[in-house]
Amino acid sequence: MVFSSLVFLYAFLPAVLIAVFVLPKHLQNTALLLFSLLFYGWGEPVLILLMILSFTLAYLLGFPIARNRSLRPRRAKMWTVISSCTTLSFLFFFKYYNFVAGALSALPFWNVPVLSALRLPIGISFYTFQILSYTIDLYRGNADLQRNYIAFGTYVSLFPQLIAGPIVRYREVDAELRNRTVTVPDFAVGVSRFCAGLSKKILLGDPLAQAHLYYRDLLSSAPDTLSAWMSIICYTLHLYFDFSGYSDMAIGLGRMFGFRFPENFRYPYLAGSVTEFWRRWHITLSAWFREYVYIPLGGNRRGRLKQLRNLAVVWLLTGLWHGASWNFLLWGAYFLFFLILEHFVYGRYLSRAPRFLRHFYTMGIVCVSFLIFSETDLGVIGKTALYLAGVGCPSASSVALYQTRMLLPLLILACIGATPLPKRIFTRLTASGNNASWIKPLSCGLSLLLCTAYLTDASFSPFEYLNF
Amino acid sequence: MRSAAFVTLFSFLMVIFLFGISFFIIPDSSFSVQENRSLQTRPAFSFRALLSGKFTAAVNDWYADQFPLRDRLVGIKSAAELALGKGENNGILLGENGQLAKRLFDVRHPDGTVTKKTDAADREQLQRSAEGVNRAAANATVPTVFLFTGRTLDLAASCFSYPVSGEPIDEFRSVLSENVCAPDVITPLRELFESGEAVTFRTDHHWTPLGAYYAYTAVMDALGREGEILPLSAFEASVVSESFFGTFWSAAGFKDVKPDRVELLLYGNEDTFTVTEDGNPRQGLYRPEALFGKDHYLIFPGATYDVVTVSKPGGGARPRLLVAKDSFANCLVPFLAQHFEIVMLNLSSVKNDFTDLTALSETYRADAVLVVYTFSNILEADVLPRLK
Repeated sequence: MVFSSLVFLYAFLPAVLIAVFVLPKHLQNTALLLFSLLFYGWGEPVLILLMILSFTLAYLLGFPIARNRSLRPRRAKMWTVISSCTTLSFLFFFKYYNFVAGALSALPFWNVPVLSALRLPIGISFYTFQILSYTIDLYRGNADLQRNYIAFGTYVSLFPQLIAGPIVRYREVDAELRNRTVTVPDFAVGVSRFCAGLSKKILLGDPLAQAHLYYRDLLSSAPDTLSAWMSIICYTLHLYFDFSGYSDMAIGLGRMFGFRFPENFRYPYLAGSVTEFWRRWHITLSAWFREYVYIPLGGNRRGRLKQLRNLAVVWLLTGLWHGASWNFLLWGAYFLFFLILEHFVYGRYLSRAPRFLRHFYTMGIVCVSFLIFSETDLGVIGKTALYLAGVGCPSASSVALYQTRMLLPLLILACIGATPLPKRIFTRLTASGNNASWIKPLSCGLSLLLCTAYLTDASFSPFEYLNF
Repeated sequence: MRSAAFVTLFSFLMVIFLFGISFFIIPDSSFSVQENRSLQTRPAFSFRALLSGKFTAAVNDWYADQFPLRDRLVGIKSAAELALGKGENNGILLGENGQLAKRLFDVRHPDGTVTKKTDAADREQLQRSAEGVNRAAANATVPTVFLFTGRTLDLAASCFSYPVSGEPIDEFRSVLSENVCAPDVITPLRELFESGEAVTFRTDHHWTPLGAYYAYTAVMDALGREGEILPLSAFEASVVSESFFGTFWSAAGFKDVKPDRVELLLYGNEDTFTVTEDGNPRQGLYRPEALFGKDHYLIFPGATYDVVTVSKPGGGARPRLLVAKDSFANCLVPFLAQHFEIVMLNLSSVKNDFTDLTALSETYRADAVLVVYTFSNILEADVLPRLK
């Protein structure tokens, strides 16, 4: 199930709200777990068993880790490795097996069968990383053992962040899993955040995705430079509104149920360097890699060469985390390249450059990165890169110009929406007590209604039988 | 602050619970008049359906199809799209005087994949279609006329700021060989439209009887029967509907667009014809009961039947015209029926393949063959490349 669906908004959400707030406190986790399993099983009725198996094993293996961590650290380490490898093996098999098999089969004398029936379980990358954070933090002594199976299952499968993050580290919600209270202001903050996220996704993200597809199709039949740029600009904006909208909804829903999830985005498109961009984009993933990969490898404390190696490991893994194909590996390598340049070559000069220049530089790199991100076919990436440079195509076709003109208001709204300006205006408007009492509820209600209209129309598919 | 929080909470809960509860209270409807299709009703539960994902998919459809105030919500969305300056919704452009037109088409690639919604015509599909036409014309044993009708956008281009390009049509025509008889009806109809004649509907993708009349004169001309053409003054205009909302309107959901008027051009003898649709005969060229439904274009003979014959009592001696067609021919046939015994074959049929025109013209002992096909169908359906 996804948040941006009528079934979620008007059946699942009312039902889970009633269940959680009517039941006594000690049964709330059970209700959340059951509803989360329903939420997941709605889209993955079979592979839900994999998730349950995954968190059950991690839960059980947590006991020997906790028992041994102070007196027998080597044994605790062994159990940590066993638990982590078990958790990772599911991810590896379902997400990367076919990629590796395909890559190996390209080598001489290797013939690894590709399993065409293998499907990627929804959200496996997210829940695997959450489980790992528990196992590792438990070993390090940064988290307490969770003895309650229901509470641990709730942590892993909690529906707000289950399928698209933010990646919540166990210790961040440990206390809330054991005891939490929801106040009316808390709930209202959650509602506003959820409505803002829903609007970002449905009113901006989805139309931008359609626009991206339109230009992409145009590129395959009648390419021009304008379409190439518009295609990646629309995709760049779409990805932000889609992903950060989803994170907002997750954070908002979490708040409604008494959880405070970490922020995942901080206006990434305002960044003045690639390094800064990654401090603002998918923050919980970067934080996870920093804490569980980069720093354990030595970070930047063991010389420049080791730091380079560590950066390479982290960024290639970051690329692969997003998907098992060469373009994602290339995407990671692409960012690695610019991060290394900024770290070791021109970072100092960049920080002194005028703000608009830094911004222009960053957005250029980010937009092109999303071309690599959005296309699994390396040939298409190469061709589009040529069109971007104006090679082998006219500068702008009349239909591309028309489409761009028609999209302009949406694009302007999207560009403004990617800055803190709307939030600032909203905060100023609601700063005085009188305004706050009607602007917030009104905007929440209206945005919910408008999103519902867009969702209803998405299903609206007239049957034009006479058109055949 | 606290009161604001209360009101926020209350308004949110009110929206989700009001819609959530009314969804269950309001009984399901099984058909959407506006969209002209069956709606998903409450799906039956089974474990097999659940495991295969079909049950959850059906519930999603059920919610989407039966959602309270659905038509109204669709109207809100299309109004929002217009307010954003997009000038269109769901690929339907809104032009001057409430003229609607479909903008984008699907493109079928040779490998079977379909690119949805693009402005760019698929040149290979045009080439293959033109080759099919050339082949059929070369094989033809009786006079054969090809009538390629334009999209609304081609005729009503002056209503839109969208840059309509005649290039794909010109390109298609340039590949046709010299022995193909394909009179250009798009240019004269566009000129007529620009001079204010209602040759195409505003809310539907078809031409009007008036537009079809001009096409009829072109066909008669091409068949060498220009002397038999009935003048427009021989027909009496009769408005049978002023409440026709066509396919464009259904797809766009624009609420402020006025309905179309259906004006038949009657010769006076329409009741004497017998129309046989897939073997079922009925009296009268037109089907007035269609006016009780949503799609008033169904008043014209043909609808989506595979084989339709139109004959006049004692018309056995009249020449026979085989019309291989899409739905545009339905509006044209009443004029041609004044001169010919007609057999209409639906080129879009999923059950029958009517692309072997040479063999079919012999089967039906046709004296002439007319192919009526829309330009958008040339690009979207793989029919013309198979013509023989």
